[in-house]
Amino acid sequence: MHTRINISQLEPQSFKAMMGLEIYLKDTSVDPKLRQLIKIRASILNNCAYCIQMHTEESKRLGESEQRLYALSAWKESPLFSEKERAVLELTDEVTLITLHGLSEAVYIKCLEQLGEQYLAQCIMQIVTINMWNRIAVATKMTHEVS
Amino acid sequence: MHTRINISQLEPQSFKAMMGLEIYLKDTSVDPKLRQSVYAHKN
Repeated sequence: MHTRINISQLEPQSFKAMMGLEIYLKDTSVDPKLRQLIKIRASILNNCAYCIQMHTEESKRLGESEQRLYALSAWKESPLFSEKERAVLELTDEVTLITLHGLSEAVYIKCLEQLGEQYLAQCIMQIVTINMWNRIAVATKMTHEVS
Repeated sequence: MHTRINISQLEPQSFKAMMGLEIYLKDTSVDPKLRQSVYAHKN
């Protein structure tokens, strides 16, 4: 339900360009479950209920456990995430909250070591993309359906 | 100058898709000067 403007209707070409980026990112080497964790974590930080709903559902369809989804809001304190996932989640936090202190050298180096250049580049693009969607959904108050 | 990874080189397809969005936005009715001022104040 839209209570504000509907950008997908008003600016379909913009949406099409963003969808092009999203579709490309689906074919990168970032694991689909990890990609969903990036999307949910960024959406939590951006208070985007619409995207949290969409991506937790998608995540469950991919076989993600509910326990890990619940733990995502406090991932730093949870033992449920691998070192690689922790590196990506830390990257997600810092790039999403970029105005706080940018991407720190410590996290950048950790990610480079854990992920390699290509994978790191793909993760950053995924984080950038979900942040765009979050901003659209929050700014226009997009509301998910209640089942 | 890049002191970290260069995403435009590592992920040219992503950049191409983002440039598609940027190029489209140049043709919208937002005044060019106003558009630049939005960029200058980002983050």
